[in-house]
Amino acid sequence: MATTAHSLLVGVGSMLGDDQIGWMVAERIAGKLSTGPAVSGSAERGAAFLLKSPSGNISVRLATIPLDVLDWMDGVRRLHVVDACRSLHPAGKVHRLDWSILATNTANDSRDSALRIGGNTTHDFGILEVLKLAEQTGRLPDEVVIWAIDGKRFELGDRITDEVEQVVSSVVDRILAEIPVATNSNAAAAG
Amino acid sequence: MSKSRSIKVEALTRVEGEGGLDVTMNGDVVEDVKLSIYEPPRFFEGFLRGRPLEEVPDITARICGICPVAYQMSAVHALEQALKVEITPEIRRMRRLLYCGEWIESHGLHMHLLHAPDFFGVNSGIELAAEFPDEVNRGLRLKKHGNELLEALGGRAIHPINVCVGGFYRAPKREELQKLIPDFEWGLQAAIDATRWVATFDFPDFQREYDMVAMRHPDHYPLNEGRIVSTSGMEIDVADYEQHFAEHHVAHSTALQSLRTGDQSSYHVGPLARVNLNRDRLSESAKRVADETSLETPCHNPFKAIIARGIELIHAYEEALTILREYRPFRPSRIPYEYQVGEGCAATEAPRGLIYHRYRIDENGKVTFAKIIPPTSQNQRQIENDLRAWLPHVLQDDDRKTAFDCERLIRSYDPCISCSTHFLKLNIKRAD
Repeated sequence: MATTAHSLLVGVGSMLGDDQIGWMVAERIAGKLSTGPAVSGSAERGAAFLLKSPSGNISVRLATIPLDVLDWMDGVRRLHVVDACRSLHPAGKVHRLDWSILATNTANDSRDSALRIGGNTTHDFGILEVLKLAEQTGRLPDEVVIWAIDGKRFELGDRITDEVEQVVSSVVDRILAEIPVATNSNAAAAG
Repeated sequence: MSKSRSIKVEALTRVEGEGGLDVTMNGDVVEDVKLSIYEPPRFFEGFLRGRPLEEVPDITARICGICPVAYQMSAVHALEQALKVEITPEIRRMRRLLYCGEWIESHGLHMHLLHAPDFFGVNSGIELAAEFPDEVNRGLRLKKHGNELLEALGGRAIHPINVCVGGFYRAPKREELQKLIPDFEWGLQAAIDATRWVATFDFPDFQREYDMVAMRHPDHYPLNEGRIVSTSGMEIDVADYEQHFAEHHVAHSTALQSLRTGDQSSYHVGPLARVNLNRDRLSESAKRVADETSLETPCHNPFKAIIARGIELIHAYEEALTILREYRPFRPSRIPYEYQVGEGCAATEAPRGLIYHRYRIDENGKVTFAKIIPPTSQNQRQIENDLRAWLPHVLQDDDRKTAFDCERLIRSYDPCISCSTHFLKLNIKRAD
């Protein structure tokens, strides 16, 4: 399915403990944006699929395989990706990583965190590798922001830790403050 | 005094899943090669016991994000045999189309992003893209086509949800598939160009004596059906698979290793085996490009599997286009069945090679037994044997280069470690 959305938000995750955070944030945002019935697909987490949006200028997707994000970049100008990460920071620490800075700055704290973004990846393509590949092949949107949230448990059967789950709302609010979209209430008001 | 050497690859890259390689050398003698698969066992066969048979295609699809269709197709055919369900030619045809989508996605990805970097001495598809952006972009488009076909027919690009025992939950609308045709027409030519490109690579002069095993069908290039044949002359019904192949546990691997029964020999499954055994069943364009390239018949150079993948990529596009152009929505989309005690088995051809499933079900439609043998389990011992023969060619280099060359050979098999754990790090020990 071709993606013509102006903005794309992707929650990357898996069912492995704190790696769920990307999905949780994406689902919460999709729920805020949807003007129709409950957002479809929330019971089928783990797959990549398109969620509803009211204004048509933002798509929200959940991904398990980061490489699939490449398939959704056509026509996208602004890309935000949410994923878990592992760094020296405590669980629940939120890192906002601007690709334009990240790609050129190899020494700062953000880079250190980003190098361990994601849980298990397929064929060595984590989200950073996918973004580098998109850059090399001229597919990278103009604006790319990675929201990386420190986790501490990533094993099969682990529940998401309280420290990580507690930051979902604040990450959602920060993302929506950056992406100009109509939410449920203002979409209705707009008619 | 002999000198021992230990070479270790802690974690194999550009393969699916987690495994390593340990090599022990005594002078120039390779004493031991262990493909160490440490990814935890996944117990899928255990999960299936007691579950309704309707859940099997969806549960087994979760074994792999790259080749879920292989698991679904093997499962539904085995269960249909147990239930004595006869599917219609239309369902059979659409299952071939779905499998073509998976081959396109998997082969396109492996050729361009996982295997091709090895031929240019770079570490990743990202590095390759700096030198060959158009080729890497092509690979990404091919992968996308495969995903789009899976989405259109399977309901979802990853872990399709439209496959069921008896057929499909829903036949897609004609326009849903027709809209794929322009991209697939472009893709067919791109697959031809990709195959011609990989055929120009500099391949190591490395020939092995293989017993290659694949399916063979009287009319079609093998995907879902056929008998099991080998280059050593074996030809058996799928029902006799377990008389000829058996799994064995080895201490260094969480994945079982399959061997031929009798002489306990290893064997080779995958695109090279399929092309060697089914070249006459290829589509016209695939056959023509195979003849153009350096792929001899039979080919026993594992590094040339990338050419075989390209040839199969062409075939998959060509067959998919034929089906897409002729497609009309079909009824029934699935054949009804009644529960009965039964047992069934099936083998299909996953992108990485032959995959075998066997199930027993009870009178309430619950699974009482499941056996799943993925292609990487079947290739594991062959990979170890290949490495024993390959190491003397690359031991003169330092450990880092030797390790890279070993990984290169392993990647030619496109192993799916996640699938096989029920399976890479290189560790070479050289004695002083």
